[in-house]
Amino acid sequence: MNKRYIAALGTVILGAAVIAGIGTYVASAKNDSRVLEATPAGTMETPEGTLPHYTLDMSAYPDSMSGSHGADGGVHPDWVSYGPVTNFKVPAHSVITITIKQYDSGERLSNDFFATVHGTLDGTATLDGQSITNVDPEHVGHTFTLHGLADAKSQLFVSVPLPAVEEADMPDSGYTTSPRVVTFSFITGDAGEYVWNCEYPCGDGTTARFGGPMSTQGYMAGNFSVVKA
Amino acid sequence: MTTMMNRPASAPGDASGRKPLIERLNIVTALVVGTVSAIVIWQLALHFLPQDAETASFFNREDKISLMSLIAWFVGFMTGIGALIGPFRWAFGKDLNHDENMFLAGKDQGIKRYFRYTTDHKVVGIQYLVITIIILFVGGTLAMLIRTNLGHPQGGWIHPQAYNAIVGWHGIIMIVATIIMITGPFGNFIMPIMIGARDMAFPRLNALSFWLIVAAIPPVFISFFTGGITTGWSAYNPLASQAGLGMNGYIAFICIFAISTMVAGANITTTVVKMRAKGMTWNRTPIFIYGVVASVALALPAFPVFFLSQIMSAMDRAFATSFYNSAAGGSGWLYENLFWIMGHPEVYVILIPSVAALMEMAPVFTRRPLFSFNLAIMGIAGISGLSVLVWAHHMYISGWAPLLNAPFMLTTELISIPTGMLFLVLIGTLWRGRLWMTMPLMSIFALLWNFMIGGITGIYLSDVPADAFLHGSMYVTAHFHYTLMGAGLTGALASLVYWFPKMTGRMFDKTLSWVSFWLVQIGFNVAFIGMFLVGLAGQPRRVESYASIFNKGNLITTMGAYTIMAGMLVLLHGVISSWRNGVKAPMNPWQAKTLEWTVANPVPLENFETLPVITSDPYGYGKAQS
Amino acid sequence: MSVETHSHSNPHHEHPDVVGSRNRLGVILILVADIAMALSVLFVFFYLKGQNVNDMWLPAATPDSPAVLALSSKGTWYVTALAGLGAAAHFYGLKGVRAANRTQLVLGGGVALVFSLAALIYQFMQISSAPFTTTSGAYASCYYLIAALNTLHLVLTVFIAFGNWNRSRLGIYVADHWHVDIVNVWWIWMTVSSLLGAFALSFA
Repeated sequence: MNKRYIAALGTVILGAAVIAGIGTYVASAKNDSRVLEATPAGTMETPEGTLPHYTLDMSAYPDSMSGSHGADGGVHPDWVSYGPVTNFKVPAHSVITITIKQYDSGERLSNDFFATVHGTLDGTATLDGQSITNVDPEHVGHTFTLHGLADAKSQLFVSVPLPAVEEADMPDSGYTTSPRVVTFSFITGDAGEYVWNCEYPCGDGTTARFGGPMSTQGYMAGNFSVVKA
Repeated sequence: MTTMMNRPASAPGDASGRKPLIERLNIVTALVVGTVSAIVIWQLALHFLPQDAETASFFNREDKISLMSLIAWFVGFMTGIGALIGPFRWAFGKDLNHDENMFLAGKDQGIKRYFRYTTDHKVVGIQYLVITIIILFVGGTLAMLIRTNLGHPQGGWIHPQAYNAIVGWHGIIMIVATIIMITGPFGNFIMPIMIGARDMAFPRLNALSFWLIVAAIPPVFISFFTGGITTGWSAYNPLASQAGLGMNGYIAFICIFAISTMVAGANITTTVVKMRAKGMTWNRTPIFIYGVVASVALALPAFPVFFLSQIMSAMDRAFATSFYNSAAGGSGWLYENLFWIMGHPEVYVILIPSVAALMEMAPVFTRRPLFSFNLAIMGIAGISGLSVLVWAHHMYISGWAPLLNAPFMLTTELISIPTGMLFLVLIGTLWRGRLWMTMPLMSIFALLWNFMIGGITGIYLSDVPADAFLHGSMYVTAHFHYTLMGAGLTGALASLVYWFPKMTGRMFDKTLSWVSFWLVQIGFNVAFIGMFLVGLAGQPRRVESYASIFNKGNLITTMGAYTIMAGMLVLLHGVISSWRNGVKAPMNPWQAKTLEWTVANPVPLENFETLPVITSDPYGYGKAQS
Repeated sequence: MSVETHSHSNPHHEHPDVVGSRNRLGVILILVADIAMALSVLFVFFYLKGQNVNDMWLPAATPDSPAVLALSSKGTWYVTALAGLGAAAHFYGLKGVRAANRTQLVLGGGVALVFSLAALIYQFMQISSAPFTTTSGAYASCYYLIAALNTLHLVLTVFIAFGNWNRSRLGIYVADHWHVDIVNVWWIWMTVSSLLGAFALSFA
């Protein structure tokens, strides 16, 4: 083959390799690759029969000093955040019980829909040990809202409000010693990739406070992988 | 002719033997001064800018710091490249003398002139060509990442947030690349010679327009690492005002680019109006010149509106003004109007010079006069005029002024008429011509095919009821790729092959041009027909994952995209290898009749030893005495 | 294309009128872009005023903050008047150079420079003394936008007026004066653009 055609082919291969290299770098540079796996907790009786049971514990903080951003809070130490991480992995067709300690104050939700518990077993959650189906939309700290992406897998929608800590209980520094503890359970479907986020406008930005931590992965949003058990 | 060795007596530093300032500035000093300025302002702002007040809940200190640093970069870079020397020398009454002007023109500087604030239009043309290739390569790489991610319904190869940023980044830099791809390299290098001028009307503004683009690029690159342009290229507000710091890079990029466009527009138009050779009446002026002037003249009033929209976006972000924040009296529709008042003429800013370039080539490769020169001008004028009256067809579904939907539908559909005139001119020129089957000629056929599909699908989108279904779908994405890439880029690639001999003194490798042409055109049609299919089936645009029913169409599109990539890389190889080792080009390899082919290779510094006088039209093929 | 290549007379030293005419067109085309932006600013002003979204063009009083009241447009007309006086002074200088009167040119240019500086300082005072902030609703946003645009124009005017006066002083315009003609075009636009801003703010 003529040398110049080999050179042209070489350019194509080299160019494709450069593009593949950039792609591999971008694909691997995800904001936070740390994942918290659900802990086995035996089995649980549900309307769908006896299913494996797993638990996940997490917290919602008024800053980024205790999450996955390091002791100094990372780039935005004053941004609200979930911790210890924002990516979770749970088994398919199982009961997942999530316990969230909520340390932040709050105000009014912009959409009352998210003041109601959705998608959990019996449609309830427990708040500081008491069963609830909804909370006062005027005093919400954050929400944990889990949903699917637009694809063919079985859909999953779970949304639970996390009531605010009273302003009077918020210390000048550090965290309150009496966080709001919310626990809820739901059943996972088929394996697939899901996402979760907070629906209380707790970010910055000039409009509606959905900017900053609300629009950046690793703070008030993350991935939720359902994998084959 | 004096050379750079004969320095002006008044130049600073003569006694110490140091070079005058004008000779010491180049891209390195620009990068250093720009970077240092940005870092200094960044650090000063970090330390001295007061924290946001508790009561000012929307105040955003980070945006202020980010924007101030980007402005410092811009001012520093332009200072470091030497853009301010001319204005300050004027103000202090020390105008540049002949030797200094010759130095700025790049006389006897070899390759170094390409890295300086060089005013020679041919140097600027080559600089534009190289930067266009670089931007297209980056934009193409991003396109491949997008298509690879969409090769599978669940996506997930790239993080969704990074994916959003890549889509926005790909969009805006490709728009900029396509805006400059004809008027930049060929409008600068070829146009002045084609009209018989020694240079552009304002050589320093010419250098300014290029270096502004260079200054604009780092902000948009940095934006990717500071949150990205996650809004798509249109950066709709208030979405953009909620996005991360990356949007500030977008704002800086657009503002600087808009200044560049304005400067280039004034320069090119003045050059054509005032500096055409003696005897080059308007009906003897080549059609390519009309295309270039129409393009820049459209951009001249359109881009300041875009500039303003971004200034207001920056004010909303950094000072919590309320231009787009409806909670405080602003309006998202305001942004949409300002954006599309620029955005739709911009489509024709891209298209017209490409079609005009191919109309310029059509007579050369058919050995016939251009069919109905006047109709071509009417077509260009008609498109230009109507293009400023169609912007709201992008907003049918937004709810803004529903009563105006019908008038905007009418003006949009009317634009088919002047577009049809351009088709007629091209087909009429090809008809019964003695076709010289070169890559540029084949590009005319490709443009007719691609632009026909892009145009007809555009009519459906201009129709309000159809748009209600198609708006925001992949159908729209396929449509505008058919126009901007299928027509626009095709014309630009043909221009590259056609004018390559004059710009580089070498012939473009014929085989590589053919291989590239077929790979790109086949790949393009495969890719975007697939995209039309999924769009018609309902797949929304700008999504990272999609329902599995769209899988087949997306897979076809991805395969087509890989084919385009191969074709473009072959073309890149063709550019590099032909430039380095290509066959030396004769003065007029195509036996064309326009003025650029009457000057030697390489083109002398001032193009013409004696200025030409024109006595006939440029398309007199087959006529005696022509 | 048929071409004759007989020698062009004096190819490297074009007549000042030719150069001046070219430069004038270039400046006018750049002004087309600036005019497009200025008219867009007016569109923004009247669009937001007409829409009065959420009654926040001029926000009413709340328990936390007083009502935002529109400023008297007198100040903006004063800036326009200063710009107009600067334009008149420059035109006086231009008439001088046309009549080969260098003293009149220097005097006119110098006075124009003083007026441009006065207008700039007055514009700064206006901005800094506004009784509202950038967060005070759509009117306040537009006020700051118009003021910022005018300030930018005035900064450029000071630079141009200084250059024009300095060059006049140095006797550069003895041979030809197309620069002074073009600076006159700028002064006219400076005045008109300031007037457009004052006009809009008169309808708050």
